[in-house]
Amino acid sequence: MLKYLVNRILFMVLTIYVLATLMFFMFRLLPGDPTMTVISSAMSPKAQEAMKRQYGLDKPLYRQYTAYLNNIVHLDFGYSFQHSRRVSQMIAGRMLNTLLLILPSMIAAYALGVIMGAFIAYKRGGRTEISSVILATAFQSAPVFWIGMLCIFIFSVHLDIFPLGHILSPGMHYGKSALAKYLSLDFFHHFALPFTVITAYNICFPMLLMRSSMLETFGEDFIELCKMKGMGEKRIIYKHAMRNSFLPIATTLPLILGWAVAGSVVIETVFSWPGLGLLMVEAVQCSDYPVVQACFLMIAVLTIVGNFVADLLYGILDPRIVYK
Amino acid sequence: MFTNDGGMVTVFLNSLKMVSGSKLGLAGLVVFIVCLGVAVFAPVLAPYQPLEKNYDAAGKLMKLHPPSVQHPLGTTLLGRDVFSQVIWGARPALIIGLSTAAGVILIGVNIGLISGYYGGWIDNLLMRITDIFMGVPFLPFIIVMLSLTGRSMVTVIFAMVIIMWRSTARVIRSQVLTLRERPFVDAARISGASGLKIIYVEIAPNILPIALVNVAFALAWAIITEASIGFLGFSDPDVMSWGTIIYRSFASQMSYKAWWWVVPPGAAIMVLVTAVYFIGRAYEEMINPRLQKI
Amino acid sequence: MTLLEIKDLSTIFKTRRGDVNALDGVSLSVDHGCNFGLVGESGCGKSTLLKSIVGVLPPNAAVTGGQVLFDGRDLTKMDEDALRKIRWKEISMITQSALNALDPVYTVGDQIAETIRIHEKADKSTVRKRISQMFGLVGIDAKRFNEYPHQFSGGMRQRAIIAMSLILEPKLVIADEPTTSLDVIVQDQIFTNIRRLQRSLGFSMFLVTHDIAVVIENCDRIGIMYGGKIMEIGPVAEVVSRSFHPYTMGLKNSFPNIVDRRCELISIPGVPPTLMGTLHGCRFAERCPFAADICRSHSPVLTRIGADHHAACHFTDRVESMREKAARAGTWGDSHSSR
Repeated sequence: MLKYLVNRILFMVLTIYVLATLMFFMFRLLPGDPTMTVISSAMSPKAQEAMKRQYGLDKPLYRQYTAYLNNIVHLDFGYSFQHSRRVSQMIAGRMLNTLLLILPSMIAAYALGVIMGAFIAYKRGGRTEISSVILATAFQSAPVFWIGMLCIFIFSVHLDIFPLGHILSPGMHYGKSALAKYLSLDFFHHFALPFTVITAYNICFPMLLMRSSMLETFGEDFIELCKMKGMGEKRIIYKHAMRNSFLPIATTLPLILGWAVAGSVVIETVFSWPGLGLLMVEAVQCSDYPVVQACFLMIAVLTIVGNFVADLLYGILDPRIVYK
Repeated sequence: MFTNDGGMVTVFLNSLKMVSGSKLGLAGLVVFIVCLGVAVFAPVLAPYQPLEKNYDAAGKLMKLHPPSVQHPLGTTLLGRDVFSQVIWGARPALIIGLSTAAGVILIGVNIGLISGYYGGWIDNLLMRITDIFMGVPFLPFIIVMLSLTGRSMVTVIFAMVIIMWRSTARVIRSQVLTLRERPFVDAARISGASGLKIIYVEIAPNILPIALVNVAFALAWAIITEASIGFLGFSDPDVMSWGTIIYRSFASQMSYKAWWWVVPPGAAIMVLVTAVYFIGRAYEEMINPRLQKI
Repeated sequence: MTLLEIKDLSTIFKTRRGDVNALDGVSLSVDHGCNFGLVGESGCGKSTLLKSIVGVLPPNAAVTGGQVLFDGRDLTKMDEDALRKIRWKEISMITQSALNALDPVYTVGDQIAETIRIHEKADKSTVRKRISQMFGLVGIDAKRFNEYPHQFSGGMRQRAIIAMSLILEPKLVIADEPTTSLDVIVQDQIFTNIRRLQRSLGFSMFLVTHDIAVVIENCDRIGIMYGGKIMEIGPVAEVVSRSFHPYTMGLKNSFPNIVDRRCELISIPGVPPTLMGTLHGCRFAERCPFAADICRSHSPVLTRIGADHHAACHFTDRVESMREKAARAGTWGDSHSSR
């Protein structure tokens, strides 16, 4: 177990290292010199030199690379081109905002999806099953940003129940502590619509998967034996079929978590939610590369840590998995 | 179910037959073929050019006109015909979707085959690489890539392919692991066939059904992703894709006034992707009888 | 005294391509304290019969006629709640593949404890004690209570299933191919064990298998099933030594070591019928080397040929010559090309 954990963590570090390296070389070697955005050719050669020195661009590539890695280890992503602020300062709060939105909605989506999937599998062969499958497939096929826009159109613009976006109303003060901000009614008012949209959108996948997984489990010998034992149908479904059917769904959790974190880019754009994704899109649009890099790496870290946690959870669920 | 004397074309035709055996699968096929037709005949079907500005009789720009007989889905802020844009949008969606799916399957299937068949350090290495790719955030990576290399369709396809092969490779590998132990593979091995020959002649036809299911899911996923990229404004600005239409309306901040500008392109994505999912699911149910309703 | 009596039982499966007559007028009976062995190839309707008895048919299947009298009560007329009380408490089961018969995510002990708690109110320590005792009887170390099914070997898993099937001391135990997946030595141990338990617990057994040898060793009466019908039924010694149905003769041929060690191994060519739609004639006619026109047009009825011995064949009067021919490989055609 300990050996497995150590190996797994080492591999996580390796993955992050590979991605960081990839980022470094993509920015240096691909066409489109990122320095061009800060160092305008209209500057005097001397000023250009000074700028290059400031960002460490005058050194040879390998020196830049080691300096870059060193900085990342210290969580130092340099200064933003656009805002002359430390990138690390800009990111911290944004990361929290993203997590606050994505994590609760994904947990809700998975819990509801699994229960609903089990339910429609139980109703197999009927109208409920067919219509749920069609609806869920169609819903999951629509782009999530479009669903978000339609919801804003209906609930915010027309019915005026929810705000148009953002995380808090502008100009409001919540005292000194950050906690008060996130516990305020205003926050939940802003949170409700994007939360509902992401949850509803992400219910479909686990639901459809749970349905087919349940149908497969129903064919297993041990389920038949449960019936022969005189077990009630509810007990068979909840205690035996669901627990077993959930296993293949649990394996998809890391993948879906990855999609959700990466997908936060679009959802945050629609709802103007000040998270990492929105920051990244804005940074890309104004070629603020230190910020882009930092956002990308942080989203990657969220994805990778999410994978890790999901793997550990799976080991708890399935006694057949032995960590070596 | 599929023996190795079938030949890929037969397997493919059989799959089409199997899909059309299910009602949803057949519906999906019909919609998909209609979309293909729309994409091919877009110049004939679209009443206007997608970027053409329309003026009314008085010579005034038809800004944000709601749906009418002339413009069945209304006009945009710049007086462009939404209906024509949606029709033309089928082209980039299908071109990007199909090319991406093809690329994903090509890489994913080959890596899965090689990894699963040879095992040992090759398998270990390939699967660790796959694991690393699993950590790459999909959409952010594509955005970075596009912002650095320019916003062309080819870059979009390239960026999607180099990330999306990862899950296909895993699925195919686990399938190959079970096939590897089958008698007909042993027989081929004993008769002295080379590793590559066994992989591509004996094993490949048998994983084709699973690969086809993955084609469908990759296609669906690629279409949605392409739309997301368009929506974020990173698509080729000269190509009118469904995502780009939504992006223009969103960026103009008129999307909440002119519903006809937003609803049709999104609905088009939804219909096409749903069709693709239905085809994939119907096929999956056929090759995995346990999923069938009795 | 009769414990289980099946009278004229018929079961139909509805499929996309039409109805399948999986069981067609099956009658048999199991006496108190006796073992009945049902033999047939896979797909002959054995599993359907078992499921029809305890009422756990899949949703697309239904009993269309006949009775299942257990201790005088007709199980086919009972509602689900009443049936549930009989299942396992009075009729339990030792299943085919012990690997999949246990839920992989719960410990073996917990699953047996759950079985008790479905039917009886009992506190934890009593339940635990009972299971430990039963583990002792079937030869499992009581310490393995908290282990998961995957930690058990194939033979141990089968013992666990047996422990589970006997824990409520049922009157009838249905054993569905109980040892098919095990090697011969373990197979033998298991049956020795079952016979020993039977002496101390006194249950009846309804053994279902494709292996006629197992029935000869363990049962008092035998039924031969083919295509959803009983072909021959009677006391084991009777049926085996004086077979009246060509199918019984064929089955005996495919298991050489039991009756006559010198006999060569002959298998019956062809595959069992699909039982789709309306069927005419004897189900075995297709593969029967003695089939005549009447066999294809008229279905033979089970007729009495000995004290308790019945067979369904038009040619029971010509049985001497059939027996003689059936012992020769040539009679059954080219058995090497068959499956």
